[in-house]
Amino acid sequence: MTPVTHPMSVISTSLVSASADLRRRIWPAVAGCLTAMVALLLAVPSHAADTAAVPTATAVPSMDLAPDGVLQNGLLHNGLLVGALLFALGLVGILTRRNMIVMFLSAELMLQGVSVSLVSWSRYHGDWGGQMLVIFVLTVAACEAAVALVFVLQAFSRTGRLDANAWQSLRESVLPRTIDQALPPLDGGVTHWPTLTPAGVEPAHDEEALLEREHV
Amino acid sequence: MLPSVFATQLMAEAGSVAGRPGLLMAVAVTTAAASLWLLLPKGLEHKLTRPAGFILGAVALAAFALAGRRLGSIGEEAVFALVALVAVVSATATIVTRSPVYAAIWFAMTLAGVSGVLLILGAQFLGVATIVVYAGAILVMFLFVLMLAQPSGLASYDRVSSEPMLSAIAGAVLVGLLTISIGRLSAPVPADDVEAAATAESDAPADSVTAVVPDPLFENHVARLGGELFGRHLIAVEAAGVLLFVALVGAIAVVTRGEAAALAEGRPTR
Repeated sequence: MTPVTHPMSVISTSLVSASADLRRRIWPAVAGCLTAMVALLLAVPSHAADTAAVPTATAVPSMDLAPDGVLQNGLLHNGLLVGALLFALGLVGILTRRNMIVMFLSAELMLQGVSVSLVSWSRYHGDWGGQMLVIFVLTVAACEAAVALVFVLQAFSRTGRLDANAWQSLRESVLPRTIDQALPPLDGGVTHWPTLTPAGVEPAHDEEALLEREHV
Repeated sequence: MLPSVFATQLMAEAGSVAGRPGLLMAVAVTTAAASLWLLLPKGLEHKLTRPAGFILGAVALAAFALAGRRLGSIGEEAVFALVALVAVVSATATIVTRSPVYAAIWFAMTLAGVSGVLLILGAQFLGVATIVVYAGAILVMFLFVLMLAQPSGLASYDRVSSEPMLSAIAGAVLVGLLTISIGRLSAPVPADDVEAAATAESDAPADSVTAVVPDPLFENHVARLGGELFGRHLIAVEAAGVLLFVALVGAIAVVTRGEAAALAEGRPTR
């Protein structure tokens, strides 16, 4: 009796090998992405240069009008820009850092970016929806941090490292393994922490008595 | 003098670049990506790597600041620029610093900046709650875990990062695409609409494109926010309470089961 191959495993194996193949040929794709993005940016109509030169048909009319008829999108634009920057910085951090705690800090950074964007929209529309959502984002972030830090501690107690790559044996077998090269010693040398001059004479301790506790 | 000629030429160039937001944003995102790549920990570094990263980052920040829209008054612009600068610079420092303890403290600084941005945007309660809940509770929890788990000195995995260049480019592409959509969003209104708005509100100045209206959510902010939260969103509040409770129970359950398993396997527990 021949072993039956599940179709899902065939699909996943081919996907994994395709991604390993892509990893070898990723640089043209990266260069293409960057070039396309820069080209798109350059194609944005230069509305700040000459407002009159922009044909009215290409402008987006209705979004700039607040309910009371006064145009205000400066705060919205700047808030969305700050939110996008924070989100992208968090994304870079979670993609590239290997310390699990720093990865979680980066995830919190992305949540901050989303919060800033939501509050910008809330201000722009003059309603409470965005701010309500941010309150629940805060709640979910607290839950997420509590549960995730428990898992980080469990992982640390198993491997003794906060390294995400300490778990790379969980990867698919076709994917290449990360091998760390030996790093040069830090040139900083010994850190000298500030010290205080002792005041008075330290009394004698009973080491045994210090370690004992009446109750836990 | 050659330097002065060069400086005036540079300023003219900067002015012409500032007049073209697309080019400005392209410059900003590419320099930001290069700066991030230079600043991220890579193990082996030349001694000029970090200064070059700082310079490119300053260029990127200046380009982003030039790409920002004008606000109502120069004071408002200055305050917004200050808090946004604090937030973005500290966020960058959070992800590029080697020591995770410093990363957590830089993240607290980011929270201070974000809280300032939220206050400017009129979300008074959220600005305070960000400091109290994030910096006061969540960040302290992070620091607590760090103190439990951090080995002495700088670990080897903190001195290298995986694929820094690809990640920086991914972030740059994301910011570029988001900026394109933001720029399309706030393209200038047609002249008719500006006139209509000016006639609708006769005392508004003619160049009211950048005028900031008073915040409709300003009056009795926290009271109205509480009314909205416990009125329209009451069921969501209850669900959030249940979620917090479940997270608490789940965290404790995972810890105690982990300790039991470690005891059974003969591994040392804390």
